Amino acid sequence: MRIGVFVCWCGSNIKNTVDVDAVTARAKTMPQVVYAQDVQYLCSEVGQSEIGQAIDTHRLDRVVVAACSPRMHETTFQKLMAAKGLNPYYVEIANIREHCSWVHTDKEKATVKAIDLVKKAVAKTAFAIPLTSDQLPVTKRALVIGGGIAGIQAALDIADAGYPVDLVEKESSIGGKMAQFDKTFPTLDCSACILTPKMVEAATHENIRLYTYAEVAAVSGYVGNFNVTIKQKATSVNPEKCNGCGDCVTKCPKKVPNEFDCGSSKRKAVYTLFPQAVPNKPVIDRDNCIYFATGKCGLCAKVCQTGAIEYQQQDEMIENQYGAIVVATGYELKVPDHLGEYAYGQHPDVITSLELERMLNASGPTSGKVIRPSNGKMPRRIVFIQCVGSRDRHDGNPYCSKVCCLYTAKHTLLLNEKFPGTESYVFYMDVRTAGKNYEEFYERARQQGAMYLRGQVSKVEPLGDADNRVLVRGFDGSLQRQVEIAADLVVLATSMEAQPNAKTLGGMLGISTDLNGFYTEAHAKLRPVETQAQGVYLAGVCHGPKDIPEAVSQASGAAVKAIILFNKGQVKSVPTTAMVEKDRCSGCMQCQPVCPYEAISQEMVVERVHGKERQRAVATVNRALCQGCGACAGLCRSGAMDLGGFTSRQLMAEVDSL
Amino acid sequence: MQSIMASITQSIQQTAAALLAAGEVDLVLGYTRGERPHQSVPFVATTPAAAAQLHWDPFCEKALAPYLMEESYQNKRVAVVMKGCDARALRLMISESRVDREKLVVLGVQCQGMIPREKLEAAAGEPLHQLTLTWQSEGVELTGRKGSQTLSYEAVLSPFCLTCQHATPAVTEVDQIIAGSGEKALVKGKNIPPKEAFSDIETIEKMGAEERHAFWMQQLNRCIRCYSCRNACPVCTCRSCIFDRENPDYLDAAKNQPAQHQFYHVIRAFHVADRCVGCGECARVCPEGIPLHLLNQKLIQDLTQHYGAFTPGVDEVPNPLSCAGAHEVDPFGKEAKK
Repeated sequence: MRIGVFVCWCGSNIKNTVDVDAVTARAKTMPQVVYAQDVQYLCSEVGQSEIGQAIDTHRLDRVVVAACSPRMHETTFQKLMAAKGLNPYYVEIANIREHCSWVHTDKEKATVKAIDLVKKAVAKTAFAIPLTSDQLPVTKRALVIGGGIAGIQAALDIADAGYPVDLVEKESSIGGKMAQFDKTFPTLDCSACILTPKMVEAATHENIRLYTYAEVAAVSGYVGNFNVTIKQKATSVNPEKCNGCGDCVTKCPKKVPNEFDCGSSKRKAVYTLFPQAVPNKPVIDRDNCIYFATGKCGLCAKVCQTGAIEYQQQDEMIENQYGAIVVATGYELKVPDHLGEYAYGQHPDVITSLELERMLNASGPTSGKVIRPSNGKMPRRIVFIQCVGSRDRHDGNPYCSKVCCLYTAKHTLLLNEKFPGTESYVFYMDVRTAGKNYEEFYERARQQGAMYLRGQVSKVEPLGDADNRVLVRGFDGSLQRQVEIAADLVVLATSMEAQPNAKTLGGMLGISTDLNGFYTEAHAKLRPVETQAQGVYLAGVCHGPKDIPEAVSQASGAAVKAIILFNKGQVKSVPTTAMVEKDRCSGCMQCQPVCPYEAISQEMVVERVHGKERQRAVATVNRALCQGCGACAGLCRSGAMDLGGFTSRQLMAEVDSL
Repeated sequence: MQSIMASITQSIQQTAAALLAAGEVDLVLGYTRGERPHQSVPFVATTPAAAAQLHWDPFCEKALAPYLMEESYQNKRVAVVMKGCDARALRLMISESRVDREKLVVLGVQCQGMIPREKLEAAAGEPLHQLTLTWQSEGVELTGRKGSQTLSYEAVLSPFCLTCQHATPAVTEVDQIIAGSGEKALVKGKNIPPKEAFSDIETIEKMGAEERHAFWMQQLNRCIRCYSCRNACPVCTCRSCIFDRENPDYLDAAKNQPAQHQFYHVIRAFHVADRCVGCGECARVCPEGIPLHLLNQKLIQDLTQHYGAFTPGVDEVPNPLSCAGAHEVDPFGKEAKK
């Protein structure tokens, strides 16, 4: 065996903290190493050709690259190996940057560690086995989870490219949060006017199948071949028979707070989410329905002329195959009742921005009028408080919710326009207007009379006057003094938060969530749409706070990723799969339940013992399903299961080398 | 009146003779009297006449399940005498495809508990060969040169048997239960919690880290790596043991180093952690008297604490350590660190 070691400087990234000369000199003395060299940038064309020449000149058959994380350049070096006619898995990376130079300051000690890392890689590569990958077919159907604007956009783009898409939405209608909004910044378009055409297009698109009132219950498989179980909740209304006349809704005697209006209006137990709902068929909310509670009532069934009400409907589990999954599950708004100083939930005239948005909406609880919930009168002076629960390390979320600055500017503009004479005061920490035409929009809001006070509010309390107004105590940083404003209405810009079940769904999909519960992208800068799980892409706020144009752009990006996959039509299988040494395998099958990809099954082998044939059970790995996690190899008591690229022999060699 | 031991013995002999005479099995694996006083050893009867040598008493400690995997038992129809712990091990072997249940006739014995010979000798205060034993309902009556005394069964039974919840194999797991007549249970419905029976565990838990390390060093460093514990263990059923493996050598057989001994015992304890049937064979066969069972018993207690009660060889597989669910706490996640 002839091993070559190449030590990268990574400019000054490695060289400043690790004595690369010493590492190279030491590498030359390691067992089976016939050549060692240090190079300024191994990933550069020059560096690549240096390795290539050394392979030829010194007849190298194994290469150790001491450089950055294999996540950065492993494929670069693997391609070089393949070009030189060597197996790509004959290159081993010693990560002396992320694991060494970047995390240490003492050059002497860092050099010792770098030498150890190289030693380990040399020992490991000596036992490397050649690995190959196969081409696997791709199911050319996409699943989009979440029917908000991001999900709708992703579904439309994939469908327009000619591939079938299933769109799963947990509510009874698609539309998401955008359907609740009145106007959108910075153009003040009517939200519904730009959203509903897309909703209708999604519902009528020949390549899109809607699953509303449905949730993803289970996911298995891998890129190109996901197996997804969708739980279709019973709507109790037969969509084929229902003509959407709404008689059932009118007659239903049960009223419950309407979540769509943040509880500020009532809806019935049988209801459609909003007037432009798609599909526009009601569902029965079984938790609140009198019939489901007592077995009596049944009014909706009596008035329905088409006999569409079906109380006996059951939840249904639907299993489908998909090649790619777009996650567009959106967000929730934090109810700010945990922040006592704002008196939310204590004084009726302290509301959230979304509640104000619903009031402004013509189809909202007040049909577009803004009123004080306490007395129904129009507010004259409104105080907006920004960053409620956002940018708050102590009692809230550390991140910026990103959209509040702009929608608050929008609210002041709308109020000014619809109800001239309204005074708007905005307490803010910073106004962030990064985005096309956003700064201009904010300027316009100020010019139209919105009063911006830089400072935080310390207390919101009842004023105790005849009008039951609210006293907002705060600090005006420009004037450097305390201010008190007697307001008719206080509007809190609450924090965007990840869906409460984001982690559970992430677990099913094999993608991780960050500290705040938002899904983690594959690379913060260069792969913002992909996830660690191949074939699973992100769109919209489930990935982090975003405004509508950003969510839509990301959705189109996610759609393109899925389309690329479908156009290719094939995926390369993971070469580093588990392998069974049948001779050692007892066939105990303990590895089977531990496999998250259901890649392990039992097979019978025939062997000759003392001249007689005998059948024996052993485990076998489906290489297409195996994703190389190594759980089985760790579990196998007799060591019959091994992981390609990380065999026990290789790992033992690493340990022994140190 | 005939004692329960004699009645079970008689029943085993009759059943075995009948099975062999009818040609239903090729051999019957059970126990016979050993050469030493009050010792019982494994025995294979291949003819109806030989079945008369089969025997049952509280000294039939040896686990028989591992024999079923041996070469000479393959492609044969075998009847086997099984205690509760042995039958649990057998069920694990079946679920792990190590033996073919179809070829077995399992004779489940209503086990009365096993008596370690050294424990009996110590309690009697006389060498075993001087003693005549009579199985009474209230205890075992010892008649020796010093006279006669009756010891309660609790005083002489193995601690494993005192905590045993499955002395008689489940009816569903065996082809026939051999119950015997006469006085039924030696330990009358008394199940001692493991914490009381294995009080050493608590003592060791209470030690400081250094003291505990010193204790285990002292115990494990006596190991001569004869692998008796592994060979006797009815759940150590791998076709090829990781410790016998070469290239990579997980263990250097040639090195008599404490680290090698410790590695062997810790790994072995984990390999049987959620499969141990509590038969106590490992500690019994150890020529150095290392209390190996303490490792297993501690692991059983810990597993119960972390994953809920799971009885290997009784409850359905998968075993708690062979599966992971999405609902389980990620040991590296935020929740676990709180």
